Amino acid sequence: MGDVRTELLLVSDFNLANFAGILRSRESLPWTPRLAPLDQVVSALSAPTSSDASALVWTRPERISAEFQRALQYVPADVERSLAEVDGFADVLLNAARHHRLLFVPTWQIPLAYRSGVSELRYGHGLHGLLAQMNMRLAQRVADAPNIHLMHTARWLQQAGDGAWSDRLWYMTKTPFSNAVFQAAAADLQAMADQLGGRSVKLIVLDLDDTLWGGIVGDDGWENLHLGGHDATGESFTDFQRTLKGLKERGILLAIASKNDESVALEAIDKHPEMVLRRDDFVAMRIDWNDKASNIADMVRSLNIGLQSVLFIDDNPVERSRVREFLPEVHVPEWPANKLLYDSALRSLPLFNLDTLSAEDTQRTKLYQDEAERERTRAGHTDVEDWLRSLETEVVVAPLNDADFTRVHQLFGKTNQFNLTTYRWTEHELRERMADPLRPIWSFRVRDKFGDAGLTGILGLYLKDPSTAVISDLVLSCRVMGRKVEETLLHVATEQARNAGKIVVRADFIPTPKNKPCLEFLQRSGFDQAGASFTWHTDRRYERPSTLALTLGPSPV
Amino acid sequence: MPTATPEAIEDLTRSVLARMNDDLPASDRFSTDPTTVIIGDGGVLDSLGIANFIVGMEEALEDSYGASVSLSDQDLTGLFDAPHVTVRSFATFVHGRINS
Repeated sequence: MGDVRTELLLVSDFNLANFAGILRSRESLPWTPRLAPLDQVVSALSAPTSSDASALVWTRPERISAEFQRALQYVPADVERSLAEVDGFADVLLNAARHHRLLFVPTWQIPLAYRSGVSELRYGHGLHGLLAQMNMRLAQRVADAPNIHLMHTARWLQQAGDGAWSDRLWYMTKTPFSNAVFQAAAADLQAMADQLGGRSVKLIVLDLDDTLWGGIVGDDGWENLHLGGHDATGESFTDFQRTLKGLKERGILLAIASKNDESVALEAIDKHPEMVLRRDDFVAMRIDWNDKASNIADMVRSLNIGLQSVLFIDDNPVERSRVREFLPEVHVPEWPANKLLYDSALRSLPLFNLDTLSAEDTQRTKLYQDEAERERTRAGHTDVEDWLRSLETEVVVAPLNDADFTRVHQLFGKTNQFNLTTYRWTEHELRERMADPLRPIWSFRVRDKFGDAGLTGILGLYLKDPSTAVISDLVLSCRVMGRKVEETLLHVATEQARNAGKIVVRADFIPTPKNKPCLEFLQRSGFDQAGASFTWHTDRRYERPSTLALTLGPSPV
Repeated sequence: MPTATPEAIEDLTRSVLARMNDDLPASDRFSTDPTTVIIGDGGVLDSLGIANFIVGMEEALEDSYGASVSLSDQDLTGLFDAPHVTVRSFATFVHGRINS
């Protein structure tokens, strides 16, 4: 998903016109909604579409399953027949997934107020039990389709409260839900768009006093903090820290911005027996009496992370307001005054993409700590080339393979700054590319004497033209930018193009609000620039940087 | 429960219309002034908008006054003599229904 709006076809057996209006009012959504003809689900999903069109398919269970319709009329339903009807619907979705970029499918719901006796949840009986089975069957059937995303309708109904279902609107307009449900659905769709578009949170910056623990460490002493133990507040802080630790294990970085005496605060972190998070869990700390917003900006700059990927949590509304004002791109949620609500507040934020887990995710904190160490050594070298050589960097290049697939897909989805096109390849599209010899992709792993940065670069070529190799993908994690890996990407691109018999290599830059670093590199790369296109003639070698070693795996070309 | 004065019903009517505006793209939003024609010739509401408005009014009247005023089961156009209905004339009509 790039920054250009594409079509989102709204397919339903009920009236989604109110929902379409709400989606149109959200300017940050990357889609333009278009209503498909009412109650023509199969034909709408079978119709030809543009290659980048997506669809949201929102149906009622009684329209998908005649058996469920019978159950609604209190006729005992044949469960297997109902599940076979779900299978039929799943087949329609799976077929549609082949020619839609993304499919969003809200799960089926009926009003919880509907009662069908004491056996309503017994397996094989009752309305609600049958509905649960149908939803589970649908989830199982589409589990292997990476571009089908089921959406949790029950959450929207809960958020909308008592007025979620509207009989009045149903009978007047064939709209079963109030606009509060559609607003919640639109917010979830926005969160999905952000996550799929690489705009999820990568760094959580935390205050300490009354945020990570209860009490003021400078006044109370670390021994008297509310943390753990048999105390409601202490337990809630432990749970909050456990959730943060879990997010850290999934690759979300943690940092501290606190107004405290550093030695006093670190003593609490190191010595309190109930601390779940320890010093090593944080990639950066600013514990002093300086302005927090400035401290956060400084930390984020040194970590080379975009401000839009930062979440700031602080119990103090004045600090929250200051950070919002000074750093408007940073996510600063309102935070509950009641400390017992911290953990659920964190878990309810729609800001984290925890769909997949790669090896880099679990090691991310260490990777950033390695980088900090690397930067510290830079001060001892007056010559950059000399410093780069001292790092003993090794780059290992390999054709895209199954083992690297998850990380490559993640890197495409998350990288904003050094990204030639910022095209967000779906898993489905990427799988197709793996089988296409004219569209090879290579992954780049980078390591040096300080540690292994992991899979941090991607190069893609398009080789259809007889004389020109087009660089379709040029992606580099900000973790390794500025270490001549950029030049190595172009070196490999030109060598592979020459091996494929191409005369010219061309990169067409597509600007976004965030990928200027990629443009600036191309402009100083030595490639010839004409507008947004950069070219290199393969009769000249594009030399490998002498400051690093390169190992090239077998080529798919 | 507060008293359902004509002014209060007009304010309630305008607040229901304002909430509808919140769910619309900026280009589709309309004025909620008392003189705005909402139904009939030149009205700002289409058929779906009228349905949303009527349902919103029924719910708001229940919430604010405990008043069960049934509007959704009637042909609205037949209830008004004028070819168009403004915010104010609709509020006046509802006020009459509550007090009848």
